[in-house]
Amino acid sequence: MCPAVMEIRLNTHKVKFLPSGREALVNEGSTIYDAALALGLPLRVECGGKGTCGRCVVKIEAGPCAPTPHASIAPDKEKKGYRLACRAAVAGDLVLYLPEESTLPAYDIDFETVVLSEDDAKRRKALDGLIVSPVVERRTLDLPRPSLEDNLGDFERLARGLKIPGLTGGPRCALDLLKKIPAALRDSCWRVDVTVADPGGRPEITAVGPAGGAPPVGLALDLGTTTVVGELVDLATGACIRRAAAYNRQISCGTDIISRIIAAGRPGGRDLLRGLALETIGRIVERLLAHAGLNAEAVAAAAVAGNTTMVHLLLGLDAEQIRLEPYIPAVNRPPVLRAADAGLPINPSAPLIFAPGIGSYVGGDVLAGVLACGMGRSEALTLFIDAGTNGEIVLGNRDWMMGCACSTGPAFEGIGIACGMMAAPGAVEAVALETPGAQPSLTTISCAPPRGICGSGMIDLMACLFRHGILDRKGILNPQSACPRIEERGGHPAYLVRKKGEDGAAKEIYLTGVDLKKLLLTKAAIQAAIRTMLAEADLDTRDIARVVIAGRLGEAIDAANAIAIGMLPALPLERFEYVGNGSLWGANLILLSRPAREEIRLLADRITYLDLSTHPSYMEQFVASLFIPHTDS
Amino acid sequence: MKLTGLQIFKLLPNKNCKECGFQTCLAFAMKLAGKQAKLDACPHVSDEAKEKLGAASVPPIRLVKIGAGEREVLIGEELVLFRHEKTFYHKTALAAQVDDGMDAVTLAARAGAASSFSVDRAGETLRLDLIAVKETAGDPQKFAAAVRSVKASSPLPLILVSKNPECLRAAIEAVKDSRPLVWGADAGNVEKVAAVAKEFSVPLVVESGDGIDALAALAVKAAEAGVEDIVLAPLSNSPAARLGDFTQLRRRALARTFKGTGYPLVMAAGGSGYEGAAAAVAGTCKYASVVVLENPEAWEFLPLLTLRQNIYTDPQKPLQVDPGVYKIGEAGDDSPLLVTTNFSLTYFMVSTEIEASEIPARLLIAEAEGQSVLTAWAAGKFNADVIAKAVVAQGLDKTVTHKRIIIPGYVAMISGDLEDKLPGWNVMVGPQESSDIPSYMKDVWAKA
Amino acid sequence: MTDQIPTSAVRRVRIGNTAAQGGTRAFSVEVGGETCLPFLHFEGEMPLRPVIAWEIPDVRPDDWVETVREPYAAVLDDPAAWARLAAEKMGARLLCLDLRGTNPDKQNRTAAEAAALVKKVLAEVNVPLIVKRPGPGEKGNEVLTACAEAAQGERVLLASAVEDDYKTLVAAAIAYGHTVVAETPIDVNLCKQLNILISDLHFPPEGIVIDPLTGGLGYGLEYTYSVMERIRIQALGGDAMTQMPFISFVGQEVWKTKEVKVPVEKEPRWGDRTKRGVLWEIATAVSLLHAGADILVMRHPEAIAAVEKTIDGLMKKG
Repeated sequence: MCPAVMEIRLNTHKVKFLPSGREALVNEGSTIYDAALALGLPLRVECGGKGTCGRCVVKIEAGPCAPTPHASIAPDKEKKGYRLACRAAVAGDLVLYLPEESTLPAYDIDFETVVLSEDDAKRRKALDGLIVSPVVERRTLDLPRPSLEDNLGDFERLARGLKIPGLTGGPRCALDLLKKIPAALRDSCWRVDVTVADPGGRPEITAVGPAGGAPPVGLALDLGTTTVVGELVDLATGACIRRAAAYNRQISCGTDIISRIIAAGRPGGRDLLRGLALETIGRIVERLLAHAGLNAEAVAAAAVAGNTTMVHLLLGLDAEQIRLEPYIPAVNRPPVLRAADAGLPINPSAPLIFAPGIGSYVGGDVLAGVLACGMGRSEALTLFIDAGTNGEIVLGNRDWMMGCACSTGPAFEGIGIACGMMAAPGAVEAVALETPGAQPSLTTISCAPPRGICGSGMIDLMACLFRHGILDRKGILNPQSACPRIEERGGHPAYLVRKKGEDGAAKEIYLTGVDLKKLLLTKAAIQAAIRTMLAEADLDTRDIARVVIAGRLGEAIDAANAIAIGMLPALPLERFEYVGNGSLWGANLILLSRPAREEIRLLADRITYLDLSTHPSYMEQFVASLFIPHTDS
Repeated sequence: MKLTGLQIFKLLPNKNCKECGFQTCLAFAMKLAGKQAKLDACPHVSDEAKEKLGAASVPPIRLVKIGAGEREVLIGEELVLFRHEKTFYHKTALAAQVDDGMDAVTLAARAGAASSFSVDRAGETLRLDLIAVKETAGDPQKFAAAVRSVKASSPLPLILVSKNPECLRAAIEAVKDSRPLVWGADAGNVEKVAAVAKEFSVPLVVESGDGIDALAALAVKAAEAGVEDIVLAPLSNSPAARLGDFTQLRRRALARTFKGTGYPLVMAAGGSGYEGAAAAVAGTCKYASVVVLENPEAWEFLPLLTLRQNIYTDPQKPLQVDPGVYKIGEAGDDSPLLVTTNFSLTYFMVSTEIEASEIPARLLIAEAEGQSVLTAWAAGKFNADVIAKAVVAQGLDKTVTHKRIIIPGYVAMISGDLEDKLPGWNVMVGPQESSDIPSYMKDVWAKA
Repeated sequence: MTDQIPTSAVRRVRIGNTAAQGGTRAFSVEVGGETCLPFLHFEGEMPLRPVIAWEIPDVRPDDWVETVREPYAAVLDDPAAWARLAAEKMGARLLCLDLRGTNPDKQNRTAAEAAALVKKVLAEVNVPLIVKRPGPGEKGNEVLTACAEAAQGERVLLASAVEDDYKTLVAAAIAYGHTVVAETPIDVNLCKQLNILISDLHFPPEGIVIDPLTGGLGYGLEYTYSVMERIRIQALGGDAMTQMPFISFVGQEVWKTKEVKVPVEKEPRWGDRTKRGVLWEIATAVSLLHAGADILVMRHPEAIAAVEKTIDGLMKKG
């Protein structure tokens, strides 16, 4: 038999995105979404390209592109060339317009000084009793000049000057740095600042420069599924220099962890996701450095607190097993790496340390928060709640602890909510409602004109609507409540918060029935997890002495309202405490303190993981919690 | 007293050494509390803890074995009052009763019919468990002969029903080493019959019509006479009284504080036809470990065994429906074909909405370990591969005329994969929420 | 464990109004009132006997297997005559008129036709009535509202309100003085939630009968059984929003199964088909009685007779 000789030619087409004018070359049959991904355009693909969220609408200006039926594209718009980017196949050269609402807002937030100084007080409290013993140390050495008698090599001279007790065989050092040492010593006339990293194990020289340089700084990173927050820390004092946040660019591959893992499993996926994570971090670091007037080399250490999947994706590890039974990650406690190994844009020799996790779904972000709130050192029964894209809950005290995770979705972070946004200037963070028909009064972050609603505002609004009978116990807007602010938006009843122009709102702000359903699911997941865990420990809500709320919901959350909708257990308000961004605190602590590094290691040994996905009563608790405040209350 | 995980944890060394195979001492303690682990797995446990934890692990209701060999029947060891707390454990044994007044041919025929009944249903082979032979004439020889002919035509273990110690002795000797259950002790003969049971080491039924206290006292007597394996038969004078007696005996046994109650219960269904069968249903639901049916007929077996299968299903497994193709309305090869997982709530919601759409359709249920669509997809149990295999296994690739399949909106992302796996098929993405199925069927399917 | 004797009671629900109560029924049927788990007379009260409702289809039920059609051979085409046969000859004390014929997918009978039939049945017989729509949705609401109006003052039991579609049905019950069935899919919490939602419409809980959905023997019976036990335990423990009597639609679940349809010639070991089917219905009904059923909707006269006899035995105290 003679095999047929076939010439395989892949047709490629040009896809041009307006208004940026950037162009991608893609194979025929790829989607517009693929083209956007290739260019790194932050397309709003909240469902990860499943064609379900209807957010990635683009307008075809020129070229062939078949319609992509979806509820979010009205027939007249379809005629005008509107398509879903993730469903639209490229069949020829295309020119298309990418509307602003179809892209992820960059929302680079640079936190204001006021916030930082308040946070600093908290940080000092958290640091209280912990010796500042950072993961890297800066020493100023006056080295004797070499002579014919004292003829040690430059590196050995440096090592001798460090006088590290008990060290045999000398410190470690990267080749690139070794190359620079002779010149550095001589340029500074033998009076140098040496940075030594000792994360446990063998010390390493990570920087050598003239004495009197800027003090070394550390980078603490909270690597969230939706939001990434970075902070520059003065390693000598523990003070915060600057903080910044951004949406995780991986959102263009899906808002939830599972979608990300699946995206990473596709050909080239791991590199893509790793690249997006690094891009997000890079952006944050760049801003931090610019504000602080520092260069990348000055960042001498980094600590990351992230959930297990985010850490895998950052390191380019295979995350597939995290979602498959029996849910075994590649690593729970990543070893100390060099920044350069992970591709972090800081001093390449800087040690990169991770908060350890205990399993696929209770990761380093949670342990960092537990560390920061000090519950492992206290006798009081503490309930720790971190409500991010995944809800993680830890219950216990210094004798025992159990932890679990539940899928809450990114609603509280503003994703998937029609007028949702992250907690950034202009976000509605608090809402009050006097009468059912009244205009709700709003508090926005930085008192800026309202731009959207963030998590705490959504909780307030839900509680207000429920209190006034506008929302029924199933979380459904009651059309019979005769509330004049209920109107239809996108085919669903919606509650109008602000019309365009009111209070300077640049666009209309509302909460739809679908949004409310997502919020209900989120609150139910958390409520059910808490109840399942209490039942497992055979404890009653009243036994809880302290509730610590961490996560990006932050202190803006109104506990009374969160209790009213059932998300938080009904306990006296004085038992609630807000640790703020616990992951970030925890990352700070392990960056700054050796005892903290020791404690988090012990926590990882001690916390018992409760798997809710296979727990016989979690589903039932969840159904009971899909009711305001709860089926039984 | 049942200890909670935290209570057990406090008795453990809290070294978190992981040698038991669990991540932490607390995890191990929680497994112990759920009886999913054995204390021996901990190499560091103290003697004090062993003692405390050991006492709590003896089952409140004695395990009794009837018969020997392949068809041996185990009863007892129940731990709960309601099946939602924890699965009922040893299935109610169903017995068909014959008597020594029947001729050898009838006996053989009845015993043969009862023991040959066998139907495979939902992964289990449904069979009767026991044959009861009743003595009617006070004649040891006759009884022994009847028992012998039953034994010759049936492999099932036997219940020997007689108050007469001589008859029982003759019958037990006739079927030596087959460990029959002897239903024979009452207030009048307990010493003598207990002596026979002890002599041959066979399990013994004690019965009383004078209330459960009298019955428990009889059981204590039999135990004092050296009989270990006891089964209780409260002879109640009405169905209501019987339910009350069985319920209270079960409660007392579980409480562990009432002497003479920690044994399995047996019930004679009494009456024939529908009445006896209805009594057997009650016994299966409410605490009988053995139900004896008088001369049951073939049509009774399947319903009663199916009921037993239902009642003894593990309630903590996710509610599942059997994978397969379900017709909704008068659906045929040209009707729409939808697919979802075998989580019963999912099935329920989807099938209800299809029904509401008033368009006859077929629903393909794929094996996904009883998980909902998104959970199963996340865990890789409901993907293109699984669906394609189900389509082929059900022969739908040959029969469906339109070659279209509607998948749940939540797994829209597998549509491409599925089209690759099912060449020539058009994969349609249905709505995310089942409540949108009716409008989808009318608007999208009808126009497709 | 429920060792302590519970003190809370299941609510009493009355179906049917006599002349004194503003209707035309000869008697009314009351269910509920238990202060104990089913038939445990030694520790509580079970003042009212569970009731069997006879299922009467509004159109000729050609899909029924012949073993259950046969006893009704003479009245298959005439629901009013069927009702009379059941009430007068067979001793039915409660009827369930199944409006399956209004299904647009089937005969698509109109709401007016259904209402006329309800009127006719109420005129022909003097026993209380359950009126059941084939499913939720616009048509179902239209049909049941018309029937509720037609039966004004008779306090019929309207079946069934479901979570996604309960408001219209409940409004009709309020307007015309009827009771409602609240149907939820085999779940303790969903059951309670719907009861709360219905009560939030200012409908009295004494007018609600709950249907946690019946799985027939071999087809999910165990789930229904346990959910009913759990709801009842919760109710007796004092949870006001679960203290409603249960209704179980037994007949429709039983008589669609393979096991009642397969003839003995095809499966000789399964034995006589009629008796097997009747026992299938008895076994489903009796096990649900033990789980707490207060109203059983059934089909076969022999099964009904046997279950009545079982109830006799279980209600006899002492």
